[in-house]
Parts: sequence; C-alpha cells; structure tokens
Amino acid sequence: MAKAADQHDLGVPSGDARADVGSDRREFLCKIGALASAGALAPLVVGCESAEVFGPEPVAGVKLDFDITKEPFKPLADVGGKAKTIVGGTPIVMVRTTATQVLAFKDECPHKQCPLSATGSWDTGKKQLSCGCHGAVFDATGKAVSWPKDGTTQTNLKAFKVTFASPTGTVQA
Amino acid sequence: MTALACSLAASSAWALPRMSLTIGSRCSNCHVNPQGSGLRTDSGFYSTAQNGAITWEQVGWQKFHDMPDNQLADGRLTVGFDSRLQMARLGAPHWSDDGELVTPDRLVIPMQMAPALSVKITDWLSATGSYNVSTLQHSYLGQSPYDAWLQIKTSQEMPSLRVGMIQPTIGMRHDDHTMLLRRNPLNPGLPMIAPNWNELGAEVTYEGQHWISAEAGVFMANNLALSDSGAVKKGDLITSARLTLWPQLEDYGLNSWIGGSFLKAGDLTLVGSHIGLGKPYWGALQAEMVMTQTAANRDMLSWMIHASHPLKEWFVLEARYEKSTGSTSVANSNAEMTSLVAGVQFIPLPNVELRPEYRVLTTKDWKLAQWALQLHLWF
Repeated sequence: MAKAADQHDLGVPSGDARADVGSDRREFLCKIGALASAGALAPLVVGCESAEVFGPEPVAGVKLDFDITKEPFKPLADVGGKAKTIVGGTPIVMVRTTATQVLAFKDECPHKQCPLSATGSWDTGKKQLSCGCHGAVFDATGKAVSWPKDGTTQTNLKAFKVTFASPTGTVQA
Repeated sequence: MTALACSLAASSAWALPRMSLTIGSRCSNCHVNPQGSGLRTDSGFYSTAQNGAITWEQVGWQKFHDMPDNQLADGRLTVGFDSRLQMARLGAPHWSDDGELVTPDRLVIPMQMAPALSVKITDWLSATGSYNVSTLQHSYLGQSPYDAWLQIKTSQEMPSLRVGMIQPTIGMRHDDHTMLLRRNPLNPGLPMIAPNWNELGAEVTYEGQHWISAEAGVFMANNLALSDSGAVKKGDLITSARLTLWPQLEDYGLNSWIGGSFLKAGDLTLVGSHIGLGKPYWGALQAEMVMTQTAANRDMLSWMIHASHPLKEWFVLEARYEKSTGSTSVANSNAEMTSLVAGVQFIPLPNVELRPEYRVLTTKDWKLAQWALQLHLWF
C-alpha cells in the first residue's frame, strides 16, 4: 500500500489504480457512445409526429340564418352575450356588441387556438375581444391589438360578415 | 435510511412525486418547500451532486464536483437556481383561413429561470422566496411569478406554519404543468390551475409521524380567479386540506402512499385522491384523480396513471396516461381530452437534465402527436 501511495505522489498510478483509470475511461467512452447512439435515433422519433383535425375541411361562402330568440343564439339577446355555431365547417363565435350589432369571428384564437366562445370576453367600452387563455386582444375587425410576448407571430382574427335586424340575421362564412 | 434516500434521490432532478414514492421519503427531505419543487435542502443538493452519466470531475470541473452543499454563512443561507427550457409544439392543429391544415410551430420557451433563497432567521423561523424571471416573457393567466413565505417550525415532530405567497397543497405537486389533472378540457388552452400557482395565505403542515402527513390552509383567491374566472372571483376565500398515509411494507421493500385532498374556492369545489407504490431500484407506479364541480353545474373528472423505472440512476424511463372529461349544462357542451406521454429523464451531467418525450394529445376536435424536449439546469 505504501508503495502504491508513493507512486501516486509521484504521479504514477499503481497497478490497481491503472486498472481503475482504464475502467473509468472505458465506462466513460461507453457512455459517450450510448449518448451518440441515442442522438442518432432522434430523427426517427421526429418522423412519428402527426397532426389531425377531425371533421371536414371548412367551405367558404356558406350562409346561416339565425334567430336570437332560439337556441343556440339566445345568449345574443343581451349585449356582451356570446354564441357559438358552425357555418360551412368553420367554428364561429358570435358576439352581441350593441343593441343593433352582432359580430362574428372564427372561434379559434390565432395564438393557441383557444375557443373564444369559451374563453373570450367582449369589452363594450374598448370594443375589443380578448382571449382568456393568454391575453391576445382583437378589435371589432379582428385586427390583433395586443399579443402575448412569447415569440409567436402576431396574427389577426378572422372576422365574418353579419347582417342583423333584431331578432334575426345572417352570418356568412 | 437517509443514505438510501439520498442515493436514490440522486435520480431525481426536481420535485418528482415518484422519487418520494420510490424512497418513502417526504418531499421536505430534499426541498425547502414541504410540497417539493424548487430550492433544495443540503440533503437534496448532496443527493443530486454526483449523479450523472458522466461527472463534472470527468470533464475537468473539479471545483463544482467537490462542492459540498448549497449553503452559506454557516448554514444560515440556502441558495439555489432552477432553469428550464421547453421545446415543443404549443397550440392545436387547425384549419387556416385558406383551408390548409396548420400544425403548430415548434417553439423554445423559457419556462423557468428562478433564483431562490432561504434565510434561517432563528432556529424556528425562516424566510424563503424565489422569483421566476421567465414569466416576464411568457406566463399563463394565474401563474405567479414568485413565491415567498415565512415558516415557523419548532421541531420535526410539531406542525409547522407557513405564511405568505404559497401554493395551497392539493394532490401531488407535479413538475409538468401540461398534466390534465389541473387543466380544463372545456377550455383546452387554459389551465384551470396555472403552473406555479400561489396565493396569499397560511398553511399548516404536519409531518411528525412517518406514517402520516397532513396540510390545511386558508388563502385569498387572486390567481385562481384569473385561471378559472368562471368559478372563482378575486377575494374569494380558499380553504384547502390534504391527508396522506404512508404505509411501508418492509418485508417487500415497498413504499406507498394513499391520500385525499379537498379545496373550496368561490363556486369551485375540488376533491382529489392519490395512491402510489414504489420500490427502490424498481421504480414507482402512481395514480391520481381530481373531481371538480361548480355552482354553475360544470363538472370535470381527470385522472392519470404514471409508471417509472430507473435503468440507471441517471436514466429513468417514464410513461403516463391521462384522461379528462368535462361537461357544463350552461353551454350544454361536453369535452374530453386524453394524453399519452412516454419519455426519459436523462441526466448527462449532475445538475443537468434532458427530458425527451413523445406526447399524443387528443381532444374531440383534434389530435397532435409530437416529440418535445426539456432542458433543466439547477443548483
């Protein structure tokens, strides 16, 4: 043992120590190799990615008549009320903004696709629709006026044409 | 037992409930926060300091390798830091206005950059806090950028009291904020309970016996009123409680827990239960369930089952399945989400964690299968 200690002091590993160092080195290299192999598998995992939307692709130009005395449009009887519907496969949120106006937007916040029919709230004073998920805000035309600072691209909210003469109207997708 | 706990806790890089379950140890053994998460105790620091596929010594950083603890001023100060970067596709697949199927972009998000400090003022009084700088760039509604509390703890056998900005203790505190247990399937993009949720209030914790732990608290709703505005208003009183039993089957080397939680806030009532089984070097199997109901007849039920197995202390296989259903009579709607996550907790170097995961999230309207990667650095 004393000899081994002396050899260590001189910077010369003993026989046992040399074996340890070699073992450590082999183990270290094996681990590095394993990590490199795992990294090489990453592209295979990426290939497993997929995205799917259930339901048909939306069709443009479709019109829908609505009546705020009937479901599901009854919430529009009150200013600030919201209703959701589907027109031509497009989910739409409708908002009663004034006594004479109903606005319609795509029922997906362009930030993270939160359903505005559930998370959105209309500010009658500012005339803005804000998404409750992450705070994106849109004006009456759908233009984004405030956007979460998370690196995503600021995108406007799709608005749809509405004609309204209480209690009935038409929305066109 | 302590040595065993520390050696096994080495495969944990965070307040992972599975670690507590595997070694039969309380979260407070390794974290200053008795719920787990964040700043580590000297035991928590020590237990992770040497665990990695390779060590700091092997890459020539001897000083870091030899660092004995995370304490200063004769143990009066405990310091720490957690940083997490998440790379994932966030959002939902959807049709563009031009009729194209849009897959959400892959983003790199700083989830956490949180320095933390705990000061031992007297033998029985301490002050602890952390601030998550990353919330300046990205945060969820109801997410608290900081936590801070005073803790009165006279001994391990007696109940301790925390007062300040803290998270009411319900269920298990998981480090993954995407888990369905705290999400709302009726609003898939919005967490019902935000990550790093904290409220102003007080909570009593009892861990005086090895077979039982209990927490009870009273808080004032502020952040919960942001993340679940349909059920909770600002200023509503929050009451919460959790009771956990910790049976140990020593003949089989098994640790387990079984418990329940309750929370009432405004119109929201939450009832939860958690059960788990763990064995050193074998892994853990845990399940958790959360039921919520509001006065407006919004009912939700979420549950998950999670399995983990350590191939090495620094390489742990993990998988979980979750399901969440919700209905509300007001909007006459119902929703369902399922989530399947399989991944690895890989620690290439001590205090560096990589967590590659394959995730499949399905709702009634869409399905997204993706891989995600989290980088976690901590001290």
